[in-house]
Amino acid sequence: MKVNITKWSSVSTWHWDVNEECCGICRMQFDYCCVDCKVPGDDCPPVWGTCNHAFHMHCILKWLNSNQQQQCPMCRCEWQFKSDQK
Amino acid sequence: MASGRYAKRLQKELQEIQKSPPHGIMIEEANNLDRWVVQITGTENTLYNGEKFRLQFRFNSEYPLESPEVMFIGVAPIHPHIYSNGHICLSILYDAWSPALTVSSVCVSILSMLSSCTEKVPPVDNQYYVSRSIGKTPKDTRWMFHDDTV
Amino acid sequence: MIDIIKEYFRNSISTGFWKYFSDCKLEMLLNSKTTITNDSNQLMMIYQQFTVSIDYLYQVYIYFERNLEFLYQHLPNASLEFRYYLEKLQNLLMNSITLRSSTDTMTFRKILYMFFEKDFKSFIKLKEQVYKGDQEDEEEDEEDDLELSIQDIDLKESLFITLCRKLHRLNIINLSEDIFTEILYKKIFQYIEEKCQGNYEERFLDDTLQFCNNVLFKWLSMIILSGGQPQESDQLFKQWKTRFEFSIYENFAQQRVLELFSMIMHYPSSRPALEDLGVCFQKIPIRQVLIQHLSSVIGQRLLQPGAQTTDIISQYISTIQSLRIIDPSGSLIQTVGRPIKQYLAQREDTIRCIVSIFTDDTNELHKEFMNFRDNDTAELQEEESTILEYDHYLDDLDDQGNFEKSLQWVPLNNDNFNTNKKSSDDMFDNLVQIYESLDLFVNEYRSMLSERLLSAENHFDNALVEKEITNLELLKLRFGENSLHQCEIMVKDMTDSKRLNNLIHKEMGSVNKGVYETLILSELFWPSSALKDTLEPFKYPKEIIAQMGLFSKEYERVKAPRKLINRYDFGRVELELVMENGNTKEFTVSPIQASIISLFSSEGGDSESQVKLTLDQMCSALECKNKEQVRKKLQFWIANQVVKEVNGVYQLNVKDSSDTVSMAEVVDGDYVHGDSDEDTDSEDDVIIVEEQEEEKSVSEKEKEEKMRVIENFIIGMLTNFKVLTLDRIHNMLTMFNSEQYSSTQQELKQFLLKLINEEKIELNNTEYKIKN
Repeated sequence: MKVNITKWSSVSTWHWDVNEECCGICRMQFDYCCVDCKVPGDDCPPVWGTCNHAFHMHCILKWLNSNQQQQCPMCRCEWQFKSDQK
Repeated sequence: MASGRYAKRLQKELQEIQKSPPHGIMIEEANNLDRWVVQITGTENTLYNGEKFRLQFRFNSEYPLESPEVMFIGVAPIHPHIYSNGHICLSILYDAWSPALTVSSVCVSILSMLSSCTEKVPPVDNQYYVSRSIGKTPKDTRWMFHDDTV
Repeated sequence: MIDIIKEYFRNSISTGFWKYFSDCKLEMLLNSKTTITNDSNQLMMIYQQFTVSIDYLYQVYIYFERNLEFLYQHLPNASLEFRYYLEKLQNLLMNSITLRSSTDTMTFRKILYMFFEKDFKSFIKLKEQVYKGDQEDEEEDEEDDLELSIQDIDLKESLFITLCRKLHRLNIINLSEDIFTEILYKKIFQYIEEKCQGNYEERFLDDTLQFCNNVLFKWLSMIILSGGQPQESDQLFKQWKTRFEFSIYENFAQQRVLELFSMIMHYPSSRPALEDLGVCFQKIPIRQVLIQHLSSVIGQRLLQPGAQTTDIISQYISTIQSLRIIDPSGSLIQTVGRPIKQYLAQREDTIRCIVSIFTDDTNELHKEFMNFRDNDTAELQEEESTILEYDHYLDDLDDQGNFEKSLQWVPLNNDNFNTNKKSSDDMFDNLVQIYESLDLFVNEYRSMLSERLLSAENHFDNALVEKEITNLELLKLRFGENSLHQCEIMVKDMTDSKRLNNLIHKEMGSVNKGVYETLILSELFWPSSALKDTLEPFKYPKEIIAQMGLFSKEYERVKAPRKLINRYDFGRVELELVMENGNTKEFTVSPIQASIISLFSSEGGDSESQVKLTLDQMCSALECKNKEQVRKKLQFWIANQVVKEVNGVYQLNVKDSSDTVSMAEVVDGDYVHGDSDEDTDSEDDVIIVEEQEEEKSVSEKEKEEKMRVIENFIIGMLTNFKVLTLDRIHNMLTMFNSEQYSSTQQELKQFLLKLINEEKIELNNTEYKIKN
């Protein structure tokens, strides 16, 4: 006997490849979105600093814009976007 | 009013504190998301052992991008960095605020500030400061943080 | 002295009185159980003789009264004593008549009853003729059907009044109160019954009251007002009237309450009848009776398995609207509505029906709903968006939202039943309130949506998704944007997945494209129950793993830094088994079933040797630790006679089938998605199949025979109803065919599966229909 598979329709879930579950600023899960967004995914990605801490892009930008010191909220080291975003 | 964008974050914080409160910290009042009152209890084997104080948190709509206003209400502990009107000289509440901080971590910091105290004395400029800051929020003060170790 | 009179009364007056009735065959009357006689001659005679006999008694009484008066005239301050003796005299007279023998009391009462009723009836007859004549503008002028002229009526009435006056003097009116009360009540009851029963489209209460005023009270007034002092009897008559009016309301309400359920069924044309009841509801305490009666009828007739959910919902809405007419405060609705709400909340298809009411323009109730809506003003939109916008920020993704609920959730109370509310709002609220809160309703909708989307035959079916988008848009108008946000993401996942699959397949090139495709879901936005993993991971067939790997890699490249997690519980595989003899069989199964059967595929040219596997071998090939899981899923293939087990070794079940013709069979396996309940269900199915196939006992064969009888019935139902769910089929069979049908829903499901295999019917999602 032979099994001919004509269609294999599976179900997957997508997840950001982040170590932390939540954004340290808004405390929302990364797979959700930041508080100003409604749609998860492309429009509301996480970003990493050189210190390897991740935040919602929107959240960290808001923090950096509202504060003179450009520090990572987690470790207070100077914030720099990691160029090679995972 | 903190009913804005980050209301959800505050709710999460509240839930977490209520579910597993850190030692010596208890939410006394959180009827709305603008103002909470937290009771802290002095740690054993410190000068403040068993003493109970009340901390008031006020959040504005930018929290956690902006720090909450935190001060003692009622009787404030006698401490070199705590004024008798309840204002607290602690950098993380002002310039060194980080949005990664939470109500719970702020309370823990204040508790540890009390714990590390070696002598119950008021700040040297207590009278002067208190008389000048009537009706003002501690967030308006230009704090000089000389000594983080006490 | 008294003794002498007593003796005299007893001996001669009594005899004299009863002599009048000597020809009236009173014995017959006594023996019959009914109060009155049917013999109109006899009745007439009794009526006349009664008049004469009362005259006789009256004269006797007056004679004695005069003498008594004469006696006391000469005594000072004796009026009290005189009164006393007068009463004594009345009693003696009555006793002499009624206590002559044991049956006299009864006979006398019967005579009284007949007298009053006879008079009442002829009075009514005349009045009704006059009344009718009035109403019909004297059209029947020429008709001389009227037995008596107006003068005659007057004469008759004045005779009656005279007689009543005598009866008053003899104190007989007092004794007959209960008699004419009964006569009047009977008439009221009969009037309401004749006039109103079964008719809900007119108001009758005022009419009934008017009838009582014009007819019954006139007659009563003749009786009451004919006695004693005018002032005294006026007062007395007023009391009578008040008492009777109360009884009219009571009687009216009691009779109409019995028809309340029918009124609700006929709503809105039954509005007049409901308004009548509303008036009664304000006047007299019928609340308890109403609730008791209506609740029990609803329980018996509405809340039972045979009733269709849409019908229950529509009745529920009518009930609310009807009861609001009776009791605008809404407290009735709360009490009566609660069991209906609870019942509906338990039914699985309720949410489907409600969503369909809101969204489906072929739905009967939808039209009603939209009609309501059209009548509403635009301000509604604003109002509701402020009310409904509360839960976006506060809504958490899963069950940890208790805190938020406690802040947000306002319990239902009477204020929610604002009478000024627009009717579509009303209907909307009431439907949502079946689930106690908007949140719960939305949750219910969300799980229904997820089930629909995940169990779709083709995940990338445009029509399906478009339909749900339309639904969603309509619901958003109702619920506000925010509460349905998660549902929007769910639908968006479907369309995004399709686009991404196309894109990635393109990138991969047609060679590598293969048969693998996948839905890509935003997990946090789907109900956690819908994406619950119950299976332990296992290995897909090699070719699929390879395709899946390529797909994931491409996805991770396009959508960096994201990754995909495969959900082994879900999915749907279409495959074809090509037997050694060239026969093919088509199946649609779950990925685990597909992975299992793939183990039996003979690779390369090695067609001679059969694949033989033990359970352990299968588990290790699948890299699945859970033996039980594999064993269970294997049952499907055994039930379908593809695989057989011999001494713990599984191998293909090769038949020496005489049918050489290549045939294609389509069988659906348990590719059911999501919720674990359904999963266990399908496992049960498979086991039942196994039992039926392998060890068919006598009783089971009988059962099958019976099911065959049912088959015609099912086909008939499906022809009439087009599509039916398992639930409905089961309910209808139970209801209409209880003699032949005694199967469980599971057994029915199995039987339907057989019919599907026989290509008589087909299953679409959860709905069965005739195969074209």
